[in-house]
Amino acid sequence: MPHRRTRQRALRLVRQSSVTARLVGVFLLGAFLFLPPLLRVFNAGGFLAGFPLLYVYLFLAWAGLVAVMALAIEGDPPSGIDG
Amino acid sequence: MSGAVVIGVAFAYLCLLFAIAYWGDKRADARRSLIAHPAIYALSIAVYCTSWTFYGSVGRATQTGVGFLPIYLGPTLMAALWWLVLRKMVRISKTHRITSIADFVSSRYGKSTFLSGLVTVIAVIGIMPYISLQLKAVSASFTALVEFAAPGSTPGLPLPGADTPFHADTALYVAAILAAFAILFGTRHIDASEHHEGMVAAIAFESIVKLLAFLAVGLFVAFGLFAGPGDIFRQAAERADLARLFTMPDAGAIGDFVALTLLSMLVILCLPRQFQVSVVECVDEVHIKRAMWMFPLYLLLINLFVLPIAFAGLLTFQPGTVHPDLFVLALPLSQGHQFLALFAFIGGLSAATGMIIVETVALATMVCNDLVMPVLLRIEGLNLAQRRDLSRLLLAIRRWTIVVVVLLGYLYVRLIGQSFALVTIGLVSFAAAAQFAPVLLGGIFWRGATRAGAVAGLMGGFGVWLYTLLLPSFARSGWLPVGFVDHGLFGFALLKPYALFGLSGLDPITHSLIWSLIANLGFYIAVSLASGQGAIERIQAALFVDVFRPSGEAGGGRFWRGTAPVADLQELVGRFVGEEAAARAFALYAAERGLDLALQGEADADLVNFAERILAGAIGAASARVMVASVAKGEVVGLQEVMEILDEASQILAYSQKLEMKSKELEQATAELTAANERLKELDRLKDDFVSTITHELRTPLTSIRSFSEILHDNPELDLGQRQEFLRIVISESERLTRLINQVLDLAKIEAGSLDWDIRTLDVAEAVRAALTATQRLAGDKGVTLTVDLEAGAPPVPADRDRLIQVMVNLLSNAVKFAPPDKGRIAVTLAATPEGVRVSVADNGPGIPADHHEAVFDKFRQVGDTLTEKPEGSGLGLAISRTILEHLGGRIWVESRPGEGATFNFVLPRAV
Amino acid sequence: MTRSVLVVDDESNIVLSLEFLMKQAGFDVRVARDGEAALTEVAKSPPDLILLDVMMPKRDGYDVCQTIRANPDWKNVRIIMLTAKGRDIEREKGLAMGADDYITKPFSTREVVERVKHYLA
Repeated sequence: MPHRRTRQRALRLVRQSSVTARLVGVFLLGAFLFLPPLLRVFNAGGFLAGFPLLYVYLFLAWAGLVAVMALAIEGDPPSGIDG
Repeated sequence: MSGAVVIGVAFAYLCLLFAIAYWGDKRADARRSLIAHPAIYALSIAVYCTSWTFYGSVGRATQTGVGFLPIYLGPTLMAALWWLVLRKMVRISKTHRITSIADFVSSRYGKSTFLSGLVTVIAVIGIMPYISLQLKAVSASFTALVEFAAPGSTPGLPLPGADTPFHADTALYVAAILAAFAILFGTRHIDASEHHEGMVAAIAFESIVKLLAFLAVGLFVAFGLFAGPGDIFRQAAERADLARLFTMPDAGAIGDFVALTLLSMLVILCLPRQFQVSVVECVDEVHIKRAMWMFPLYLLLINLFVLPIAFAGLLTFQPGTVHPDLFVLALPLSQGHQFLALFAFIGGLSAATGMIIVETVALATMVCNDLVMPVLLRIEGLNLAQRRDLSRLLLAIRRWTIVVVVLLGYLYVRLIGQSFALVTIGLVSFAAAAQFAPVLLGGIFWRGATRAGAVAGLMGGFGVWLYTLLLPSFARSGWLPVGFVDHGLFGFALLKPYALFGLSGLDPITHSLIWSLIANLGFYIAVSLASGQGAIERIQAALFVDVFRPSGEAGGGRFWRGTAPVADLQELVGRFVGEEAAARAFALYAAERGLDLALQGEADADLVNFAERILAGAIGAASARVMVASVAKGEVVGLQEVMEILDEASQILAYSQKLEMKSKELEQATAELTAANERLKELDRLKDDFVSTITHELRTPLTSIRSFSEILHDNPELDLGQRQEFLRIVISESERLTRLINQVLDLAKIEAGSLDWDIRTLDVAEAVRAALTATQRLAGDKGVTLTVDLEAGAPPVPADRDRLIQVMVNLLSNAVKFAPPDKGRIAVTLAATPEGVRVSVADNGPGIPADHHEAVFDKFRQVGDTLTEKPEGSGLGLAISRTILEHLGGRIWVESRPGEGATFNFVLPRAV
Repeated sequence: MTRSVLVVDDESNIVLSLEFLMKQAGFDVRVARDGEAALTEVAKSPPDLILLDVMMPKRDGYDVCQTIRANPDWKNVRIIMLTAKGRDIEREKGLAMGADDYITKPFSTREVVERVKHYLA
């Protein structure tokens, strides 16, 4: 039914634009995490569980960002990955 | 460990790689692609991690702590935008069969060969240090492994220098071997737009090997050599010279951190080899989704042990004994773990070979397609265009290009390499590759960017890069006079390459990045805004920027399954872009494909699509499709197109609705004008009638006067009685004439507003009595009885006494006129009303039918038709009375029924 | 035999002057004060000539003229229109209605007499 197909296409478009919006959000989050001023805050020195604070922060933030990115992309229902 | 073993293992490994590549190609030929998996795609993008990552990161960490990280954080950030940016580049490249970054840029800016040549030159020069880095790393790691692998011994710092004879220089052999492999991998096929599937498979495999090798070393160091990473940092914390690396020392370091993040964000898209694997070799753009998180994850994993290894190395070796770039090898070797060291060496070799193979293949394609071939084709003596088979020539050019590029890398490492650490050399290349970012990103998002802008931006940015990074590195290695670095060019301090225009205190890379990008962006934007686009440029710009618009999506000719007569098509295109331009475009198309369109008759889908693209530039994609559909046969218009056409149609509809509205307004205005004209005509007619009536009214008494005057004149014998009678008529008619003239003048004056009014508060009854006195004799003559009832104490009202009397006389003489002789009765009454003062004059004449109650007040309207006798009077009396009363703020009306007499009433309002 | 003239006008003074002039010229004169009265007179006995005013109560001069011309019995009746409206279209209209001549008010008494004599000669 052409009508249904149109609806599906519209849905897909909506979903795609929301994926794009989410990804831009992830990018902004990353920029916030890895750039001053937050970077400066964790550059103060000190240790966390025996590791230098800055190292722990950077790697944890990095890992977190990758996880969020994976969620933003793969959390989508399969039909969203058809382009 | 003996050199033979190392060389044997290395060769075995390279042969394994080649086997994988061969297998990959076979599978591709059999249409059972090995690389049609998102993970493979992500791993192939990890070619980003070269020996710089494998060896250099550790070295960088020993100097700057986290300073090595921006190179990986930048791509992580950019990966989040890949769905926006990289997907667009992939789509464009598929649509236009783009083969390299130079092809991409030149295609976007109007298929300019100059631009593609420029990009190629920048790429070759810019990437040269990067290749040298790989050669240096491989030869250094080989040397370290072979010469200093005795158990218990400590590897020294034996980087090959300029004093080493060529034949003894490992780097030279490494270069030769890698060049051979690059040729084997990358130049077996000729059509560059086809995927190098085998190569990609091999690269993905290498990415796994280098990650595993690095993780193995990391785990060994952290848990074999030390009691976990925590132990390493605890020990390091006890040494002040190491603990300082735990934080970034100052704002400058943070600034460098930010700058390098930005830089690596850009280069993950712009490096020729990244463009090769992520754009050209992309088999399915959906793979980008998976790669968007897998690639950053890969980066995270491979960097996990950089800091522990760096600190372990610093804790283990005496300063100056081992180059930190070689800690990855030296740490296992120092503990006698030769096989682990060998594995690490293989990992490093993977990183280096992967980079060199992809990079040289990418550069070879560019040099061949975008630099050498255009030149060769222009040399007429070679008659190249006439040759039937050029593929062997192309292959030869590409192979030689690989050799030359690798050789240039070798020269760079031999001349300059020993002065710099791995990362520093790599960053020089990064800064060069970043120069492509503005024209690349601007090209796919900014439709207005022009060829001239792209050329200016690239040249500006590249020039600054040359001056602030490359030339100083030559100078510092002694190959150029060092004076211009220390004191500025020609002694101008402002021109110091590391502190251009006084910008000092920055790392040379950051410094160069800032200035080159400012120059690049500045020229790019300014020149783009100042210059115009040619026709092809405009078409290409639209196709690139709007690649996701549905008709762009249809892209290639495959959307058209039908055909169309070539002549019709060309004629159609000619109608929109001009006959000459159309002929030129078609000739170009034919020449490019070696076709003879005149012989062809029917155009194939490609040509139809080509025509549509030209048209799209002139009249918009949707309309172009419709136009082409008008001459092409075959299945075409899909739902999307219909929607689009409707969209455009709705715009047209909106315009036409506006037009319709305007024309309606116009119609309305016309109607108003017509009405106004009618009113004017009516007024004109009324005036005409008025003049005609006045003429009549004036001529009538004049006729009598003239007639009797002539009779009297011509008949002197008339008796006295008759003479008297005729003279009386003359006098009476003269009076009538005078009265008429006065009334006409009065009316005209009142209507023109030029009558002098003497308005004062007065007693109406007194004025009525004055009028009665004036008309008493008239009534008496006719035998009409007058009854008067004037209410005492009626309030005085503002009025002009003379005019008021005029009104009363008019009404009274009218009443006398219509009242029957002898039996006539006229009643005059005056009464106070809430409104003011009301005066009535009633007669017992024939009365006035209701439909004439208004008309009696019109000029020259006499309602005496029913009478046998024509009533005397001008027919202006009532009109004048009404005008006077209206001027005084009152009103006049008549009450009457035929046969029962008429009552004229008027009211004058009280003073306010 | 004496020729007869019918004078038709609603202005009594004008009727008076024309009556005097026609009698002086030796014609048999009758008068009518409006269009209806004029037709009654014509019906009684058609005159040789009618001096017919245009602007009259009840039936105007054009109407009277048309009625007379519509009756073949009265085809020999000469009609001279008199009007105070001096516009050309009224002259045209009068002639179109079947009037023989057309005189504008105020007229020259001699001219009226001469015209009447002309038509009755």
